[in-house]
Amino acid sequence: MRRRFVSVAALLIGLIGCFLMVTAAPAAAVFTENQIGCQGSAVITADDGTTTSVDAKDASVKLPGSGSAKWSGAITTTTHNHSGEVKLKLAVFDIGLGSWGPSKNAGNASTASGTKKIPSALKQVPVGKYVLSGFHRGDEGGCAGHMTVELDGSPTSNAAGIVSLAGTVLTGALMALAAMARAAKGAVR
Amino acid sequence: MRRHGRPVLGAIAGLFFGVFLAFDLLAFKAVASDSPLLLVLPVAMLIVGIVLGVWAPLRRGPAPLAPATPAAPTTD
Repeated sequence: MRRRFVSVAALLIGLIGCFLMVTAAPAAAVFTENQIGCQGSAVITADDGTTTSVDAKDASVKLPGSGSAKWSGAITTTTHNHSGEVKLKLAVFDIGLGSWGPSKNAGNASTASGTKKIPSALKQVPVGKYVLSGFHRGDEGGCAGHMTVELDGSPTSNAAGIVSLAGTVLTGALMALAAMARAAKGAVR
Repeated sequence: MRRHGRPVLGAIAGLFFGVFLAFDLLAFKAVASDSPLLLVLPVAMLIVGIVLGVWAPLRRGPAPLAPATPAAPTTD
């Protein structure tokens, strides 16, 4: 029985491995369009005082679980009647994280900046690589892109990670139980 | 006699196994959040669970032998 179990497990691991190799994509920040010269940067300060500088063109960003981010953004071509959105890409779904506009921009502003505290709820989000996408679009044109944000920490550093690992072991054992032949009614031994 | 396992248990366990495995792959940074694998795994494992439940490739150990019944005394 153990040999059969090992072969079934090896088959599953092999299939997942093949799929990973086929679908794996390099982490990168990419402007898919940038007609108006969008730029952005941030300095993230973790609770322990360590700082990380991020530019919109960086390949990936490591985000601490808590702290604050001093951000600034600019466009070389001032836009009017503009709007924008930042979304989290989860499998094939897009989850909106924030949006701005529509705004006439009567004051012809071409820069924006501020400080944002990293939400405490982020500590409970499983660590991992999250792909964010966003766009800013107005009458004069727009820009869009995506970036990989890596949440720093160990997979077991929060409850979600521990529950996920324990759940894998438990449901894996239940699958093995389901795959176990049971004695048919009326069987003669 | 045809062997059979537990397809319903296999389906439920497979679905959740896929969901948890997807979270593990995300947490261990093996895949990014936009990977279609996060959606494919639960569906694939649901099917694998049903197949394993119907196929039942794992055998239980041999049943314990019944105690030997003493032979009835013969009277000649």
